[in-house]
Amino acid sequence: MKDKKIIKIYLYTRYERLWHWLQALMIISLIITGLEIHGTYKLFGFQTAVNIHNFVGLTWLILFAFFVFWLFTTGEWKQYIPTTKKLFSVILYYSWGIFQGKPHPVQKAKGAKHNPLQRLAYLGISAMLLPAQMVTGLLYYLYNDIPQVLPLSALAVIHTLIALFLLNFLIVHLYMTTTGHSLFSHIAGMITGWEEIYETTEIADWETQATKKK
Amino acid sequence: MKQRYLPKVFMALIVISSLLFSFQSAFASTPKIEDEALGRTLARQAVKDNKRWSTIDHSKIDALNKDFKTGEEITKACISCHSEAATQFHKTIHWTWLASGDKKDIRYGKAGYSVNNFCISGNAMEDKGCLSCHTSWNKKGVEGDVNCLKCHNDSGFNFNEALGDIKAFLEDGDPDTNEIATDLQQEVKEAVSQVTFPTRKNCGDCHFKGGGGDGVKHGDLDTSLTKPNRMLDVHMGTDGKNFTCTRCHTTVDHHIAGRIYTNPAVETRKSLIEDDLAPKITCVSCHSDEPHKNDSKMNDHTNVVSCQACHIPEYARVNPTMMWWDWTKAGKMKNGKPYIEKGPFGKPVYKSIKGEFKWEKNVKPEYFWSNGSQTSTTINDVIDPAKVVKVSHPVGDKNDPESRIFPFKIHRGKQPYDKVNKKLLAPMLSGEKGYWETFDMNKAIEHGNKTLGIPYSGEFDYVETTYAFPITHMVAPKENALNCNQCHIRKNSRLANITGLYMPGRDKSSLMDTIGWLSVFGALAGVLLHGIGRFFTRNGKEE
Amino acid sequence: MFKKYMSTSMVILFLLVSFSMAFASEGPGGNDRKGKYTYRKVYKACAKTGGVESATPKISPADKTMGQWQEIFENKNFDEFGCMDNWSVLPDKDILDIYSYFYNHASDSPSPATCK
Repeated sequence: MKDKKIIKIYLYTRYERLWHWLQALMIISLIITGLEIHGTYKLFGFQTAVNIHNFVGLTWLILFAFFVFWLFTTGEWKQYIPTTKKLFSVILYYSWGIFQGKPHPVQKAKGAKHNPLQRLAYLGISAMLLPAQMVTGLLYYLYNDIPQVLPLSALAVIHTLIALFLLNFLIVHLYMTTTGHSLFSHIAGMITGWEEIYETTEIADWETQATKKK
Repeated sequence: MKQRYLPKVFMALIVISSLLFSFQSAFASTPKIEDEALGRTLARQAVKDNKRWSTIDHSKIDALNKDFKTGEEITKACISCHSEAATQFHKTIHWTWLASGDKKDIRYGKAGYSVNNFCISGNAMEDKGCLSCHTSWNKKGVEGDVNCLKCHNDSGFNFNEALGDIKAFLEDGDPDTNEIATDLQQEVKEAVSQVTFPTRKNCGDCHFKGGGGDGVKHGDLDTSLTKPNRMLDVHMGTDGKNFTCTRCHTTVDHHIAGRIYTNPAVETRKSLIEDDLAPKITCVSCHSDEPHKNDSKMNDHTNVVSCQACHIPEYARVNPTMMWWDWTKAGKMKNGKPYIEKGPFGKPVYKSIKGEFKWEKNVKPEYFWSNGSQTSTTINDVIDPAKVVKVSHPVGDKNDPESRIFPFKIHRGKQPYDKVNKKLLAPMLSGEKGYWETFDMNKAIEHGNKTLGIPYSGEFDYVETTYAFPITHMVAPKENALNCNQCHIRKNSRLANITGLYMPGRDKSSLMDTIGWLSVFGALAGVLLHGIGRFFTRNGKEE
Repeated sequence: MFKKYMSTSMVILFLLVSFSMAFASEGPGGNDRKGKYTYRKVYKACAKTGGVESATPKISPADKTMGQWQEIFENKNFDEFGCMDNWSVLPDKDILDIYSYFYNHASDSPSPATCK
């Protein structure tokens, strides 16, 4: 382990990094204002909270369309294909191996930026939770302008529940970024675009699908 | 390498933010043309012309230039030109004191079976103490002649007193008093000629002082509205549009627009743009049903929340109003004589003739669904004395498209009811057989119920009652309209008792919230434990 | 004999008491209706000469009880009323009328009156 050299690879493009941080900002402001609208606390005042939430929510909807466009035109959508290969070893690493100083079973590579556990999590979020949140949010916003699809109470309950699950994800995600070979190495990667990996790591075929064309 | 792309990142951010801003306005429902709210523009347009033009100066009319000795003579003079006025007026509620046009239907009305929890009943106009507010001369009720001056004279002159004195002086044979009488008649003549459409003071002399005093009954109608400023009422403010009552209470054939007991003021709300003959009594008539600024969320509320709910944050803002009248406490004496005890606000808190009172100022309304109608319990209706009796209560439902959430004053009190027949009772108050003379409630009830022809078992007790008044006057300037979080708030929402609908900020699913928060705190706990574990095992490394 | 004596004295006592009671409850005997206008005239004249701001009298009969007015008028203690010039020229009969007006419409009378 001590013999392995650490090299840097350029993993995240400018668009990716911009999108990541922009989305983070939007989600955090949506959660903060959303919980105020829910009545959990008072911060900006109900009317201001609603105005901010509406603006950021609609903005995110539009930007998410750009993101989906980018996913498909660049082939990056393949990063989200779920797999069960090495899934168990990743789970085992995070629950046990990490405390014993074992190496991570899956290193990042251009064709496979997400380990199998991440693939599942991010797919679930991007393909299920976030779209459901956007749909319920939009129906909530347009409630007085369109014929009723779902009663307001149902929209509100689903929207709130997903918001809390996303808050759950945020906490876990923030923590997980510290599991790199140094506490802030992954965060630095998402800022600069360069990730540090071990040079002699074996990278399986399926992990490089996305780099085939390149 | 890092320094080269930092300015590029900045540029990208600027470009994206400007894109976002321009996209946002695309989502507005209609483009913003002007800054002013539609409701304000329409209303300003409707009341542009302030001057009322007239073809008459009543001081030049011979018929009015007489030495009147009685009120009836004055009325005769009015009728000599306004030939149909009296017959027309006799058909309206201001004369008959009955809700129905059919004189035989005496179910609702002060002259009929209606009761309240103030002075309770007018006892078919036989309680003369109430008749000073009847539109006849000398408290003669429907037996007398119409007193046109009560509404159509703004001199403020006390005609009843002066005419009574004139009559007495002319008959007593004292040359001094004869002179006073002639002077008085001149004063009467001058005052009579001041004929006008009703001013706020004309209406208010009765409608501000119902129930026996200023501000007792309505809460949103008291003498502070005779000369209010905009802060108290934007429409009636003397520094604003200075509306008279009839500006909104459209009058046709002396039928004045407004709710009459169980009959709502209008069946549906219509703006004058839709129907120019619609009575102006609703807000919608001048302000339209989407009066707020174009993209305001408030326009989405107008089919569920009344204008009054947000625009009248509190009532009785200048003069206090009575909130409680307990008849059970009446009859106590001091040194064998009836007495009055004053309390805060300088208002009476006890009167031997009436019982115990409570007054309040700047009162927060209570909110209920209303389609414009109210129930009206009469002395012929069976009540359930085990519960609080709602003598008058708003009628409405969240599923009724005509219903809106309205603000109300709820007056609470205790009044007598028939233990055997289980109906409210109507004690006679003034006069020699009235409670105010005898202080014998049983006798007063006996006599009172007889005037209305309703049997009395002889056994009475007291029951707690409520009486609702819609709050629709004392409209505050828009800066003082309610804030969103007066209602959209978890605790102490003004609409806490409006159930059966979901209100963001107020309502939640406890179950779903619990599940969601459990997952959040679970995550927090998990990462805390994991992190501590990694810390203590130093990630398994030896360094 | 004793019985006869007792009943006669009871009757006489009863008559005496009722007779004196009649005197006790009687107020001043002036013309209270006229007194109202005489009172107003005082202030109209006074306002013209600038003695008071407005012709509407500041003091009304309902301001005090019958007993209090009795004390004021019997001791001719008119300081509270102001306009002493106009009061001093009033003949006694007029003052009696004004007294009757105040007494009959005092706060504890059947019809208390306030000047508007």
